[in-house]
Amino acid sequence: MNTSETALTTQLHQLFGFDKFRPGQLAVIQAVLREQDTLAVLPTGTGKSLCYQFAGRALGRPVIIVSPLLSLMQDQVEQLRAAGEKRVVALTSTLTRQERTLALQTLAANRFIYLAPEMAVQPAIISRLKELRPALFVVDEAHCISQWGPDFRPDYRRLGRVRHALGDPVTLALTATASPRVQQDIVKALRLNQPSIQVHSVDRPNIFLTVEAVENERLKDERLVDLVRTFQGPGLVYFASKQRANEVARMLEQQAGVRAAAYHADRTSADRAVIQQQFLHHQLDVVCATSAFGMGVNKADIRYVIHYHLPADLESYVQEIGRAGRDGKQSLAVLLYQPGDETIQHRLGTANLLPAAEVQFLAAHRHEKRFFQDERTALVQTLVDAGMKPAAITSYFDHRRQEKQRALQAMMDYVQTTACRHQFITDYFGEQTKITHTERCCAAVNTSLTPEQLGMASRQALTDPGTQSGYAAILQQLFNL
Amino acid sequence: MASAWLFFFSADQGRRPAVIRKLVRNQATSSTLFWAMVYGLLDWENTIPHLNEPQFTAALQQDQQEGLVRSQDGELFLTPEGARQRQEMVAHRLALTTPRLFCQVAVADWVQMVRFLVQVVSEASYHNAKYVVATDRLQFKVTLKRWLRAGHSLAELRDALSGSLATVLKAMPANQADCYAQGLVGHGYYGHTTAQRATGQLTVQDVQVNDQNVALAVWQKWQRWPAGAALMTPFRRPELAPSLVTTGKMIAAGMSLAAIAQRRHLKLSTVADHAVMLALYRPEFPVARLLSPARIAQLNQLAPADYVHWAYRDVVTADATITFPEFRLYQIRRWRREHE
Repeated sequence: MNTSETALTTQLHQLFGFDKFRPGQLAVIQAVLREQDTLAVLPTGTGKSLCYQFAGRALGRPVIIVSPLLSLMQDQVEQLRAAGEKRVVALTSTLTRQERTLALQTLAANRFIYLAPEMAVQPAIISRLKELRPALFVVDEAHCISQWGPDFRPDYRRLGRVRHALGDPVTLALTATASPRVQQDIVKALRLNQPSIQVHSVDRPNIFLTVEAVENERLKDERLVDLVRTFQGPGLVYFASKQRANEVARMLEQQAGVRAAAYHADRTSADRAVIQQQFLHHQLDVVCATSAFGMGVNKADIRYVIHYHLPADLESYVQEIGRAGRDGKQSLAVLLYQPGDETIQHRLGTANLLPAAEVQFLAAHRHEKRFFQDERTALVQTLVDAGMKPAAITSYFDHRRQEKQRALQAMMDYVQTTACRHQFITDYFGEQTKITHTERCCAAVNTSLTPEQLGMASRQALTDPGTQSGYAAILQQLFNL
Repeated sequence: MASAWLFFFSADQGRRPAVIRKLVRNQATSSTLFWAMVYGLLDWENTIPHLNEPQFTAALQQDQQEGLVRSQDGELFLTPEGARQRQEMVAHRLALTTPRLFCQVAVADWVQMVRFLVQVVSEASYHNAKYVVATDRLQFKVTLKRWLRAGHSLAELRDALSGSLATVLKAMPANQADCYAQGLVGHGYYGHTTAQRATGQLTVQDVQVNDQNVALAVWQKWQRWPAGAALMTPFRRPELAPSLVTTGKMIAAGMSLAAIAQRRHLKLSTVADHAVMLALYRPEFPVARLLSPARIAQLNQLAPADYVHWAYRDVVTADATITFPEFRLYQIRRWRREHE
């Protein structure tokens, strides 16, 4: 296959309608088409998914994509379908037994097969996938192997074995954030063979970074309302708590006069889909979300990302602020910090890393369902089912606790730094990049530029929510009557 | 503030919370169903399959603390204030119009299926094949594909869907019709969330009930649309468990409960339970096959005025040959004759 830039750019236009590749895409696609295992560290918004979609269409054989988040997978499946590619399916735990049987029966008819990691490790599914002779095995959000995986998706760590069981197909590991240590982890865990490693800077020069310290929640709320009122949107506000997301969404509607909605796992899937579409089509000004929102949302004009709660680590922070300014225009990331916020993440991050005595007890009672009724015990159950002994689990949890603490400390260091924040982030990810600090780059704690200085003054007063139509008009519109 | 559970209680009749909880959650035993019949709530089986038990208990405790219900011998009665608030609730909150359909239809899925069909038909009406589907349910897509492959068309579906919805919504109060339609998604119309629709007079719960009412009204309309059957089949629930149906057929054929138990290798008590449940589910159940006129006369003589709260152990004391199914069938038969 001709993998020259000219040839591939021609194909890009034919297959996707684009005239040129985004930074990083070409090298990744070239490596994959040359059948080289590849690790691609590409910042959020640089079109990672096109790297494997291109390969799938060019090679004409199935592409398997393992993805850690149901919402992300569903977004990508629907976007592929919306773009006209119907040969796509997602195998997740949300399928009913009947749906799963049907999906497996018709698997060969699909070009893109998305899998949740817990499905990918099932022998029946591996066997079925092997029959398809996949052209490419993609591990999306590959940093889950090193960071999230051990906490939320232990099955990610087994993907190396899955890959081997599939016959070691060409593999593409994708992530937006990975330090050199995490990169090594990914290569080792997936057993990549002399991979091409494509790393692009995580830096997003068009995002002004700042931290604002507030004394208490009341002042945090006041400052948030002020920011939303005065800075041009649309925007995202991230929370560590679903309840707080709900409360603040209502508060912003009432006090900042914006159209806001709360998005998190407690919303029905129908409501989540509506919120996404409303946001994409400018019917919402602000989405108050937990980290579930935004990973697969292709909205280029998000102007600000505000963190109401401290994220657990810089990887999450960079991914989340990376949703702002994909159009390249000036954008803003504000982290609102109240002393003690770090205890929220500490508690959340270690909730399921149970003490040795509990691990021992649960392992001894692993067949008794009544002891495994909640999220706290779910991880132990998964590890026990995978054959890990209590001592190994405890040791593993100890290691994870240390990693979580280190990551949270790095997040706190970022909060407190008086140096250039862009430089801090690139240094954290092991980049050699030297940032040219400017006034529009970032600010130390509680020193900031005004909306006017950033060219981001809000152009709207109160947002008109519009009037809701009557049913007759809606039916007429829907059915083109 | 009064909980919505007040709806299920009465000032004149003590009712056990456990009966209501098990009934709406589709965990009904024959005893639950008997008491649901006495309470006039049989239609409400399986209407809240995901009921949160701790929240249910806590809500009733709160109602009791606020003086809206009082407890007596394990049964709850509405107080005068509770009855007043219940009346207000009935006047101002939406209720399910066809709760009995919850035993025949997978309602939550059907509500989403109707929304899915609206979106697909809407986009097709504008000849647009490139859109993000607002559902991740493979079953919906496969059901529709199969229906189309069987020779039907989206134009046919459009006529049925738009016609049914127009008819159903026109027959409703305007605010409820508008609320439902605002939750739909289609070409150039992105819909509204439950919370966004819960403005003005309707609460979030009202919106959800409204969605269910409309979807089930469409279901009833489509019962008379033969072409729609294949779209509805995946969402049908068997009204009776297969084992109940088998026992019912054998009873109708004249077999005794003992003979059925032997034939089916079941315990006699299980078959007896089947008979009681069949009598509760089916008013036309042939009680006479299992309850002779002589036994009815005997039980008439023995029964106290409050035969509903009559304990079987007292029956056995009077005559140990009276079986539990005879006793329970007697109660059901008598209740039906007196109240229906």
